[in-house]
Amino acid sequence: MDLTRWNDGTDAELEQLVGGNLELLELGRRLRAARPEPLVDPEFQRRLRAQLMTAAQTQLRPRGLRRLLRPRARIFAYGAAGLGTAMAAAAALAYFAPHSDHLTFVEGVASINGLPSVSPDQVITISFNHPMDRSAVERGLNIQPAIAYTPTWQDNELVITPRHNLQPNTPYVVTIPRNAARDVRGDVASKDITITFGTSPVAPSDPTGRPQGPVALTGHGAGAVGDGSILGFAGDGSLLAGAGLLPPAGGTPPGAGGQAAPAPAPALVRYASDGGTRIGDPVTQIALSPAGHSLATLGAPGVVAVSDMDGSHRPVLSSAADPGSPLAWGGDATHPVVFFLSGGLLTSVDLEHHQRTVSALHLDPGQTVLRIAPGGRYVVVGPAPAARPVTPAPQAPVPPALPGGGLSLPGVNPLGASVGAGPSAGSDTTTDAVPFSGTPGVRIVDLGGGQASPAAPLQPAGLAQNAVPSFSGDGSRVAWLDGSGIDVLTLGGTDPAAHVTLPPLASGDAYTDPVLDATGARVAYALTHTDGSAELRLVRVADATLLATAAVHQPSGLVFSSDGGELGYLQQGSGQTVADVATIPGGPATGSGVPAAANQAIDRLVTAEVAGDRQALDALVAPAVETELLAQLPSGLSRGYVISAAPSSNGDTVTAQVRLLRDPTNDHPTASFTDQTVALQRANNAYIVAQSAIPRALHDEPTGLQVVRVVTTPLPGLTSVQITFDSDLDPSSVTSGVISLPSGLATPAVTYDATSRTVTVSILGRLRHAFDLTVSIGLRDVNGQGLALPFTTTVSPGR
Amino acid sequence: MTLPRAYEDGLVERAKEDPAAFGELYDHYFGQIYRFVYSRLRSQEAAEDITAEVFFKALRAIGRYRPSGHPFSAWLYQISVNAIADHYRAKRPESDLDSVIGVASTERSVEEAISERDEAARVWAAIDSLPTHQRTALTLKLGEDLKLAQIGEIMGKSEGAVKLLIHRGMIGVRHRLGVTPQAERV
Repeated sequence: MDLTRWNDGTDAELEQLVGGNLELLELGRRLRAARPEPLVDPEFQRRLRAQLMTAAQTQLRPRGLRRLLRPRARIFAYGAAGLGTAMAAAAALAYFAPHSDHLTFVEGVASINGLPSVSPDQVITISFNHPMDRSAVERGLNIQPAIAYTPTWQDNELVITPRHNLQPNTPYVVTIPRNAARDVRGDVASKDITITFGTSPVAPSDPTGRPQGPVALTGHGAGAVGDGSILGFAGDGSLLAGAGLLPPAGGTPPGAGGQAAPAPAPALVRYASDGGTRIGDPVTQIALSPAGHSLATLGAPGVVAVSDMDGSHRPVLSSAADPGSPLAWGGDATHPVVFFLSGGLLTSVDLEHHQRTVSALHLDPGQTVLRIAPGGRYVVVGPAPAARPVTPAPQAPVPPALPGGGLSLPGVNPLGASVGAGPSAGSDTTTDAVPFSGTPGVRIVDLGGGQASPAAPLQPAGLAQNAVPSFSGDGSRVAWLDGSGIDVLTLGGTDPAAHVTLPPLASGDAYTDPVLDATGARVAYALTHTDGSAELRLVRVADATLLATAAVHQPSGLVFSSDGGELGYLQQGSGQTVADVATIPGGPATGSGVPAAANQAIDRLVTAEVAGDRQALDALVAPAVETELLAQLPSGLSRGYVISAAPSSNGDTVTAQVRLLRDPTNDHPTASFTDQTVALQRANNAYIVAQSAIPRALHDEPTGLQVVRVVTTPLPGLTSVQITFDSDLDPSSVTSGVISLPSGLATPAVTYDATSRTVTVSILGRLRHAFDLTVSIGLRDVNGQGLALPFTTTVSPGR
Repeated sequence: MTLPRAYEDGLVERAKEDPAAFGELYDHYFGQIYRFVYSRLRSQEAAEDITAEVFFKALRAIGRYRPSGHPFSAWLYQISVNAIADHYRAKRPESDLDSVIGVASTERSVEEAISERDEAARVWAAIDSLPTHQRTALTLKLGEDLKLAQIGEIMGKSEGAVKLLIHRGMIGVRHRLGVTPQAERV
C-alpha cells in the first residue's frame, strides 16, 4: 500500500491562487510538509476488502443477457410469504450471510429501515451477519417511543413483536449500541446499529393488533324517557331525547324510589356533562344539520322547526308535516332545506319557509315512506307499520319506537295520492311529480336527486319484507337486515354491497335493525334474547370485525353521534325506559363537539402542510394569514397530527393544537418537531384557518413520553378526558396521583387502556367552567421514562 | 499514482458487474481515501469506520455512477466529504493533539520527530479550527494535491468558489499560527 504520496513540489494552481504572496506560498509548503501520516492497520484494509467482496457478490448486478445467464443467487432459498418481501429479506440476509472471514464487523439490517409508512401491526426484524450473543443484544435494545415487546430469534434474525400495535402515524427509532451488538465470538459492530422508520396514519384492520376480542362498552345513564322517545345527538356530542323525563326541580327522579312524585312531563331534553336540560316541547324526530349547528325537529301537531343546539331560536318552518314523518336535511351550504312528508308527499322547506313538494310517489295502499336519506335523494318505502298504542303523555303524544329505532306512523298515512297532489299547507308550494308504483315489501327508491326524473326502485337482493333500512349520516350508504346478516350498500356507486354475516338466531331471539355511523364504516345492532337480556354490537363493515359490545336490556333506538364517538340507545330498566350513551374507543379523531366540517378542515390543513401543497393551503387558509403561515412552516416535514381541538361556545370557532414532525434518519436518529396552534372560523358550512402560530422552529423531540391526542367527551354528569400517548405506559404509574385538577373538583377516576395507550380521566359532577388538567412527570413508560415536562390541557364542559 | 483515464473508465464500467474489478478499484484508491478521511478526523478508529462506509456506499451506488470528466477518485472523495460531514453532525470527534502525527519515521532522529510533530500539530490544529468548507477545500488541496476543478466537483462548487475558500482558509491558518503579514511588520 502506498501512503507516501507526499511531495513538496511546486503547485502552479496554488501559486496562481495566492497571487505571488510568498508568505502564503510558504505557508502552503508548511501545511503540505505537516500533513498527517495516517496509521493504517493492514488487517483492517484486508478485512474491509473481504467484506466488500462478499457484499459485491450479491450487490453487483450483471446487465443484459449475462443477467439471465448468471446463476441465481441463493436469496430465494430463504423464502418468505410474498415475493417482494422474500427478495428484500433474502437480499439482506445474503448481504450479511456468515462467511469464512471471521474478522468482519457485526452488522444488523432491517428491511423496514427508512420506510416512512409501515403498517402499525408490523413486527421489527433485524438480520445480523453473525450468530449473536442474544442476551447482550436484547439487553442493549432500545426502541423509541417505548413499547412492550417480545424478542424471539430465528437463526441470526431478531424478531421484535410488539405486545400491542405500534402507534399509528409515529416515527420510531430502534437502537442497539455498538458494544451490545456482539456476536458469539465477542466481535462487536463498528458503530451503533440504528433503524428508523415511521408508521402509517391508519390503524390496522384489527385495532387491538392481537386477537384480544372486542372492547366492552360502558353506557352512562342519561335519564329516563317516555315510551317511544327517539334519540339523537347535538353537534357537540350531547345526547338528545325527544321525550325525556326530567325530574322536577328538587325532586327525586322517577323510579328512583321514595315518595311518588308527579309524573314528569316529557320534553325535548339535552343531556350534557352538567345534566339534562329541557330545550323544547317533545318531538318525534330529530335531525342534525350537516355542519352540526342546527337541529330540525318534528313535533306535534305536524310542526317542523329548526333551532340552535340549546333549543333557542326555533322558527316553525312548516305546520303541515304528517305525524311521524321522517325528517332529513338536504340542500347545500348556502341553501339548506329540511325534508319531510306532507300529505304523503316528499316535501322540502328552506329556512325562509319556502315549501316545495319534491316528489310524489304513487304508492300502493298501505305503503309509506319510512326513511329519508340525508340529502333527500333516496327514500325507503315500505308497508306502514301497524299502529301501536301511544303511551299517553300529559302534553303531547309520542309515537312508539320500533325495535330498530324507527318510528311507527300512527294512523293512516295518506300515501297513494295522485301525481301532483301536493299539500295545501305552506306557501310557494310547487310540485315535481315522479310516478312510482312500488311492489309489496320494503324498497329503497332513488328520486334522482330531487329532479323530475323517474324514480328508480333499488331492489337489493335479500331485502327482507320487514327490514327497515337505515342510512349513514352522510347519506352515502344504507344498511338493512336480511336473512343471513346485514347488507350495506353504497348508494350511487359501483361498490359491491358489503355483508356482515350474523349467527343464526335461537328461538325467540331477535336482531334489531342495524344503524350506520356517519360514513357507513361501522354498523351497530343488538341481539335480544327472549328474557329481554341483550347485547349491543358494533361491527366494522369492511371486514365484519366485531369492535365492541355492551350488555343491555331490551335495547332500541340506536343512534350514532355525528363524529362517531358515541353511541346512544334506549334500554328498559326498573320499569322505565332509560336513555344511555356509551363512548366508543377510537371514535373521534379530535374532540367531541367539534363540527365534522371543522375536523375535516383541520385534517386537510395538516395534510397540506406536510405535503407542502400550496394550492390546498390557498383554499384552507385566509389570505391574510397564509403569508405568515408559509413563512413559519418548516420544510421537509414527514408527518403531522392533531393533538386536540375544541370548539367555542357557539361552535363558530374551533381551536386546534397540531404537531408537525420531521422523521429521524440514521444520521439524525431523533425526531424533530414543532407545535402549531390554529383557529378556524366558520364560513357558511365550511371552516377556514383564521389564525395560525408556529412559535418555534423544528427541534429535537425529548426522550420519553409524548402526548399524541386529547379527546374531551362530556357525558351526562361526567366528563371524560382521554389522553393518548405514543408509548406503552407502566400501568403502575397510572394513578390519580399523576393528575392535577383545580381544587373543588372530585378526585378523578383514572384508567389505562394498554391497547390504545390511552389514559382516561373521568371527572364526576357538573362542570360549568373550563379548567386545566395537568399530567405530571410521574407518569412513566415501560422503560421508566417520564414526560419531559408536565402536560396541561384545558377541559371544556362542552358547548 | 493516477490510473490512465481510459483504463480507469473501463475498470469502473467492469466494476459495476464484476467484484474483481471493484476490488481493483478498492486496492488502488483505499490509501487515498483513508488518508483523506484520517486527515479530517485524526482518529484511526473513526477513519476506519468512515473509510469502510465510503467503500460500501460506493459499492451500492457504482451502478449509477456516470463519468463526469473527472477521475473516479473525485467521486470517492465526494462520498467521503459527505460521510465526514455526517460524522461531524452526529458527533464532533475528539481532538487529541498528541496523536495527530501518528507513527514517526524510524529514519529520523527523535529530536527531528518531536520537532516535526509539534509543528504538524500546530499547523493542523489551525486547519481544524477553520469553518467546514474552508477546511475541506484546504485539505483536498494541500493534503491530497487535487486540482481546483476536482475539488469543485467534489464539493459541488465552482472553481472560483474553491479558490476563495482555499485563500480564506490560508489567511485563517496564518492568523491562527500567529504569522504577522509583512505589510504589518513594516
